[in-house]
Amino acid sequence: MFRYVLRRLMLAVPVLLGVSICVLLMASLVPGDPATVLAGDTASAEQVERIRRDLGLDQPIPIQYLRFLERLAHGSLGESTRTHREVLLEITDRFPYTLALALGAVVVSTILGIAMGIFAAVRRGRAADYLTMGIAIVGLSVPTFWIALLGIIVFSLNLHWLPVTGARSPQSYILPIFALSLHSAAVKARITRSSMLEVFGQDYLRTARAKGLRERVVLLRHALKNALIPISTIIGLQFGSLLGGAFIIETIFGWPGIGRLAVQAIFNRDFPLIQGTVLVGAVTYMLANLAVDIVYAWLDPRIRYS
Amino acid sequence: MRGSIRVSAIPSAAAVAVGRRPGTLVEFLQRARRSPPFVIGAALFLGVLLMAALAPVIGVQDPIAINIRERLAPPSVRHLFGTDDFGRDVFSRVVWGSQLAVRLGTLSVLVAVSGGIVLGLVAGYYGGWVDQLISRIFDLIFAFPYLLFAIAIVAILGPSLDNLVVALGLFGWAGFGRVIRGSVLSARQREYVEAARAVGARPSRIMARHILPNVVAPVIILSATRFGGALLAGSGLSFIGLGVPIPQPEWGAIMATGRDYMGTAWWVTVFPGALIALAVLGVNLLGDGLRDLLDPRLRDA
Amino acid sequence: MPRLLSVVPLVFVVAASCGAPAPAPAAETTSKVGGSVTFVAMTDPDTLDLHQTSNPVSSTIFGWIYEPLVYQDLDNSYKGLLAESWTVSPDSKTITFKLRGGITFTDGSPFNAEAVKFTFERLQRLGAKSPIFETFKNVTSMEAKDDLTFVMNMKDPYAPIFHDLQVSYAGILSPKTVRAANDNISRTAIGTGPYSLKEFQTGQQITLERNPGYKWAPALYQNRGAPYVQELRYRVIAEPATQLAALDAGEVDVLGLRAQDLAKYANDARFRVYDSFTFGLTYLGFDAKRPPFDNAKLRAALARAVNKAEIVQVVFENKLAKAQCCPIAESIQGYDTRLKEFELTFDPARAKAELEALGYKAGADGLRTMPDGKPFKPVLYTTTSDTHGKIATLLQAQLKGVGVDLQVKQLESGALLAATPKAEHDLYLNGYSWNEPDMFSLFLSCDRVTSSNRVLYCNGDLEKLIKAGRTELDQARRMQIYYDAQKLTMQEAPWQPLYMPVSKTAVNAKVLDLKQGQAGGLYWHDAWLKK
Repeated sequence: MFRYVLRRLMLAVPVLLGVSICVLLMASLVPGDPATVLAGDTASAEQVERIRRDLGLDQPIPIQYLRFLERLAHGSLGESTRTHREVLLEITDRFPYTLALALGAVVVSTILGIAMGIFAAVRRGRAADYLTMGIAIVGLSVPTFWIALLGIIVFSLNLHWLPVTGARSPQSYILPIFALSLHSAAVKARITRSSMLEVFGQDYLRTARAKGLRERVVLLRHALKNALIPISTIIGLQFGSLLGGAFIIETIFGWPGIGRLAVQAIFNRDFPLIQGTVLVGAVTYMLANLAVDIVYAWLDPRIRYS
Repeated sequence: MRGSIRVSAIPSAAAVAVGRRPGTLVEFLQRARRSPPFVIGAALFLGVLLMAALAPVIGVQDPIAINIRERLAPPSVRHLFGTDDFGRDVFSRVVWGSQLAVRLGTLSVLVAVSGGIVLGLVAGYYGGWVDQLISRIFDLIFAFPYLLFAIAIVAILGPSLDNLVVALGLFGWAGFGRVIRGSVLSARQREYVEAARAVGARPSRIMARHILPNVVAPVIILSATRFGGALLAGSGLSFIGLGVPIPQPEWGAIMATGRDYMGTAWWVTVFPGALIALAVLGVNLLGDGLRDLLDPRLRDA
Repeated sequence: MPRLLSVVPLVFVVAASCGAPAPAPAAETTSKVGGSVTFVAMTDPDTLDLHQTSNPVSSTIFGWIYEPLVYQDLDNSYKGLLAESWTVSPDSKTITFKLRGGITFTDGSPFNAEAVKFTFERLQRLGAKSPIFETFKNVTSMEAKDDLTFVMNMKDPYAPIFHDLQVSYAGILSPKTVRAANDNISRTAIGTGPYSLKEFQTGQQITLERNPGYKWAPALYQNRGAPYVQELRYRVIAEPATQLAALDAGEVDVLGLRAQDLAKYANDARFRVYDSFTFGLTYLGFDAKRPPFDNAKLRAALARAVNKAEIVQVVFENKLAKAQCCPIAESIQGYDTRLKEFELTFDPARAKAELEALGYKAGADGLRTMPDGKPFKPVLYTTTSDTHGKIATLLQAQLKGVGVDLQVKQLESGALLAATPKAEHDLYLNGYSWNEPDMFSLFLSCDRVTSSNRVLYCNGDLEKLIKAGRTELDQARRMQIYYDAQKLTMQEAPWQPLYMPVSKTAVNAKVLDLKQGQAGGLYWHDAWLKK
């Protein structure tokens, strides 16, 4: 197992290098440079040129990339062109907020999704099944921003239960987490239902039942374990959409997360910060998926990593 | 296969990795008729397609003609869905918007499928270092925050349907590619493929004749999900002002303008919002129905 | 960004010199002190380094923390703030400032001529991102003659100098703090202003707290001492729908309203709506460098197809903007009603006739083709702002009325700033915010065609007028120069001026004694909160 983890971590290195090269290519292709943006709309050409020189942007792109790698080797992601602070510092200020949203959404959507899925599966073909799955598929079909705005109108403006914006109190986490959870809860409910139905028809479950175990235990032990494999895949993917997916929610709720930081960095052509946020997103995604693969092995003893 | 196992990106399709070639069309349709998700989904999807095709007939009022004397008029016989803040007929805008929705969904899925098929087939068929390389590319694409990339493309190149299609389609490669690679890996073990290889058939011929048919089912199912995903992502981008250029009547863009009038003119948001939800619901149900019909294991369960 | 402008506290920049501080009765002062007021910011300030940004949110924050030497009074004249008085040498190249004594920075160090010299020399050294960087390139040397005498020598006479010295970017830094921080003051801000920085929670909120030692407030206010409101907060909320919800829920106390919000807040007892106009203008520009819009006649013909009244009505409900005739908005000195006769007023019939005469003939579908027979589809470049999108939608319809098929391309600001110097566009929709007629040198001069002159218009006669206006210190002669410059611009039509934004700000009714300014914003120094 240890060697497997090590191997996976080593495989991650070329992928991360690839990601950073993609960011660099994107950066060199987009119109506008940080100097133009920083100088603003009243600046002279000379001001822009001077800023460009100060930022080292007069260097060719490959040289800039080598500089980046050199800094990276020393454990630094460089300095944001916009705020003049260490990129790492900018990210550590914001990342916990996004991570809290993501973890909250994983927990809420998993519990909600599994509960709905089990409920529908044991009542297969009955009204409760159709109703639950109907709710799930509507949850899949409604845009997230719409749910978020409705949540604000109902829970903040009409009921005065929850704050509209910011991340200052535990209550302020509820709406964003809920809005971020609905879509993946629906996905998980559907998967739970179908993988449980699949297990219901299989032999080992009949055996377990025949051995006289109570039906509830059978359900939980076997069927759920089967459902957890695809669900952990979804959880891994949820971390993949951490930056982009959270952006709209972060914008609507005024959330101080890394998604908004990344999009602002794009608008400001703040390349060190874009590199930093994208890399942190990619690393989080890869670690989450490694964790998922380890969970697989625990869930299904037939899977062995070498 | 390399050390890790991985369930495909879209689990509903994962179960289909070992697809069975569907029977004749007639047999298929007979079974399909008895599947409520398929029937409802197909009806909704066809409805959207029809709306798009018949837009010039149904949406008789000019969807971009401004009439400032009739701003924010409530639904009436003259304006079935009311008018927006420029006095444009919301019904016509929603109807013409279906063309954009169909184009966005179809084109972005096509971009994703074509890239996914090439990469997935090659990776699955050749295996070895080719597979390793392509799998790393998939990893890279998955690890890259795609919505962020979409936002960057559209923000920087300017809002346009083409930019949206490219942004959403490129990142679908990996999703389709992984599913197809999985299907190919299992199909490659089949006897008829072994046989074809034994008699010396060219790889391209084997892929086209023997392997490609096996991946059709998962691709169709995944396409349905992706179509809906593209509509949702497109409307999300439009909502933050990064969708299609004005004055095109994209559904998310109509909703975005309407959010300022939610208290006073609900019709500007509710109708396009309902259309997005119905269209996505349609393709999701269609995908469910197809999965049930094409996947033997689930059907027998 | 009208929303941002509406919360700019130009206010504290407004502080006068005359008279000794006359503190209000102590009992009353203490009873009023306390509470907090929350504003909205669209984004984080990028940095709090006064010299390394042109960001509007940063500028707003600077307005509370830092004070410049001078301020612009309601009648557009300049008065001393940290300076008590000044003299200008006969050749107009040397200004000697007499500074006010007894002022301290919030780090306890004294304000003096050395601090002024230190600040402006730092601006010359590090300030390439500052909007007043170019101003200080003209400054050849500076001298702290004694503790309270500061002398500034310039290469050429420069008329807009006092305007440039009153912007919030021209505030005075505490040398002690800057030296201690080794020049890195991106999150440190120590000035002489009525508030000081308490906390900067990135992406979320900036908190300022009252400077209890402040006792040099201008005579404009009843309160000559420290402000009453204990804390000011800027909450970062980008989404307009959320900003409104936050105002409704009481999480935010002050918000610039959009046209569609006005009706709702006009009769809401929880809020009071304050009006003020702005020092800015939004215009429709034509790329004057590239064919076909290098032809002034074509520019004028299209300008006549623009219905400003309709834009102001539909996009601004006739409340949040006022249609303008001339390149200098009516709030800015240099505006002259006599220029109205040169305005290219809305006249679609004449626009059509002029287009016909230029060879732009209408086809069967009513749309015009170019004289060479190619379809005429000019492209308008503008920002992704909602307001500009709406105006572009109307312009599209208005130009269609004369047979012109206008295309619209909305670009995010970085891409837009990069696109215009390359003359990729045909038309350009944007605004300026600059309370000085010298805005001509920024937006319409030959020097700036590769940068801030986004219509790439360069005219030798106008260039002479712009240069003359910069160095002419006689007010009457200077205004005549800008009369001529505007007349020329209106006839040549690189711009069709559209409107001056007006701001309406909803403020929570708990705020009392808030003064409504004539222009630029609200006057907070007397304000206190109902307990």
